[in-house]
Order: sequence, then structure tokens, then C-alpha cells
Amino acid sequence: MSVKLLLRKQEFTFDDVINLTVAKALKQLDLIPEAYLVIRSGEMLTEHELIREGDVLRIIPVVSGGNE
Amino acid sequence: MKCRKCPSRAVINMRQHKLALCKDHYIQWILDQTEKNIQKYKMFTKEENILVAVSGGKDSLALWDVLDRLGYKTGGLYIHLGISGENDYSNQSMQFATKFANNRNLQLHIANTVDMIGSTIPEITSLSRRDKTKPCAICGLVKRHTMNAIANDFNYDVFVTGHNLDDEVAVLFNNTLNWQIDFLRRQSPVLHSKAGLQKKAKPFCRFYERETAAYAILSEIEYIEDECPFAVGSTTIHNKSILNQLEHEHAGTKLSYYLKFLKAKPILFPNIDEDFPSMDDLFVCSSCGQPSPKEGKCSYCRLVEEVQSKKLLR
Repeated sequence: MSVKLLLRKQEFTFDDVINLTVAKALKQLDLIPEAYLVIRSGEMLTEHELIREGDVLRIIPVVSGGNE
Repeated sequence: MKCRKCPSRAVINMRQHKLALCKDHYIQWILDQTEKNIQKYKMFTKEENILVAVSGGKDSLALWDVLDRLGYKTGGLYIHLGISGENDYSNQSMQFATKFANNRNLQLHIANTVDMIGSTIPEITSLSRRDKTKPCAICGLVKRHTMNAIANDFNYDVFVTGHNLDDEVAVLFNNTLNWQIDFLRRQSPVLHSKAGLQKKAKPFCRFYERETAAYAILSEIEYIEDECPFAVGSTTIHNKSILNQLEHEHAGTKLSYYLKFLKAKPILFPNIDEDFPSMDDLFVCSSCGQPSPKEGKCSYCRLVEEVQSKKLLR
């Protein structure tokens, strides 16, 4: 079993989920938690939350803005 | 991680406040803090009519939702900019704004640059003699003019935007890097009305961008997640990325940067009220009647004139 992380049109798979937290997963994807929210089955997760085998997580970017 | 206020699982951890909250307590926290900001900066009262500038994105729709839930009298303004791109940006975002207003039975004014100027923002940018790589500056000019006009025409007392703390610190950072003294002087959670310029307020100015997004998601507000295609690679996004790196290493950096700036402002600009353009310093645009820092036509009317004359020459 593995976990899937979806970021817009990209999909990332992690095979090793032992002690894998949201913060660690984001770090492995070179993403900083300040710029994203992570959702599992409609529930928002803190960065300390453990990822479980079979999880499908949505990573939502929160940064926006133009050059006014 | 548990909620600070009850035994439930926390859904968000705000390191800068050392505060983790569950869904219900988080939503209530956002409502309470927004009310506190409105009072602290004397933004508006429940007797006044408030025009919310909505883009269909998380910040503006979350703000409209919060103000409505707090019992403020609000209407919304969506400006269709004619931006298409892969995601049909303007049409998509308008649908989110319209659906939001209809579901809550709130009034939404819709303005369209094609009706107002005869062109979309990308067309205006390509026709204007201004820097063609910077449609955001033109977009900002059109939005500010339209918001002020609608607020005046429909007797709104104040117009509010969903600018969050990340927006504010990105601007502050840029203005500090370039020592834009005039812009620094004017940056504030609230700008009071002057000579035909409506009062403006930013009730979300102390929330991180992540927090407004979290509120929208937890409140099941549907918003456009895709970014405006012109914002990709913008200075604002680049600055936000740098500031988020600093925040990641030292929680609270962004909040402290902004709040300490607000605290330092009276020292930096001791005669701030006198320094602001007074009623006498502003001219009335000879075309639209809106205030302008220069005599003759305002920048918006000059832009419209330029675009329309170039279209005729095509």
C-alpha cells in the first residue's frame, strides 16, 4: 500500500509511510507548510498529523496575488 | 494535536499565535478576530453600507461570508476583466462569485471592462503604451476606479477588500526594498474617505493567507483555486515566497514585520494627516468627476481614451 498526494494536476506517490507526517511529506516534495493546506477525505490536517497507508491527500496552494 | 479549547482534533496550527484549533473553534476565532480588527481600526459600523470587492477567490469570498455572518450590511462587486487562459479565469471566477451571492441572497453588482471601456484587460494592455508585461498595474487602476465609482453610485459608505497579511507584508517588503516613502505612508488597514474617494478597509489584514484559505475550506465556500494567469511569476508571489521561507524558520516573522511597521508609522510619519493629500490637493477629473492627483483627466480616463483611439486606428 502507498499514499497519494495530489497537487493541482500533479500526483505524487509515497511507498514508505512509516512515521510519515504531513510536514515530512511536504518537505520531501520541497514545499513549505506556510504556503499549503493538506486535506484528507474533506478534513484539514495539521503538519503534525500522521499519514496512513492508502491515504489520498489533496495539497491546496494558498498563495495568490498579482503586481498591482 | 488537540484543539486548545476542547478535546477535539485540531485542524490548523497557527505557530505565530501558538494556537491550534478544531474546525468549530477556528471558524469562531476568525469571526471574533475579524470583529476585533473592525473595531480596533475603526473600519465601519453595522449601520453603514459596505461594498465587498469580490474576485471569486478565497480571500474576498471568505471576507464577504464573515461580514455577513457578523451581521454587517453588505453588497458585493465583481469586475469581469475578460481574462481567459487555460482555465477561462474571468468566467470561472464570476461563476463562483455569483453562486456565492445567490446562495446567501446577497446583492452582487457585476461590472465588465468590455462594457466600460470596450476591451478586456489583455486587450487594454496590448493597446496601451504602458509596459505590456505588466497587465496587473492596468488591472489595479481599472479595479480601483470601478470600485470607487460603484461605491459612490450605489451609496455605499465604505468598500472593503480581502487583502490578507501576506498581501500586506509582500507590499511592505517591496516598498521597503525600493524605499517608496509615499506608498509606505499610505499603507494602512483603513484609508479614510477624502474628496470623492470612498473609505477603504481591509478587515483581514492580520490573517495569514493560509488562514483565510482554511476558513474558506472549513466553511465549504467554493472559490477559484487557480491563479490569475497574469499573476504567475509576479513580484508579489516571489516576495511572498521569500517571506514564507523566513516565516518557516522563525514563526511570527510576517506578523511582527507588519504590526511593528504599523506601530512605527506615527514615528516615521509624524504629520501623517497633514501629509495625506488634502481635499485642496486633489483635482476633479474633467471627464468622470472622480478625484485625481493631477489636473485634467484622471489616469483611468486617459487610459480609456488611449485604448479607444487606438482601436479606431486598427
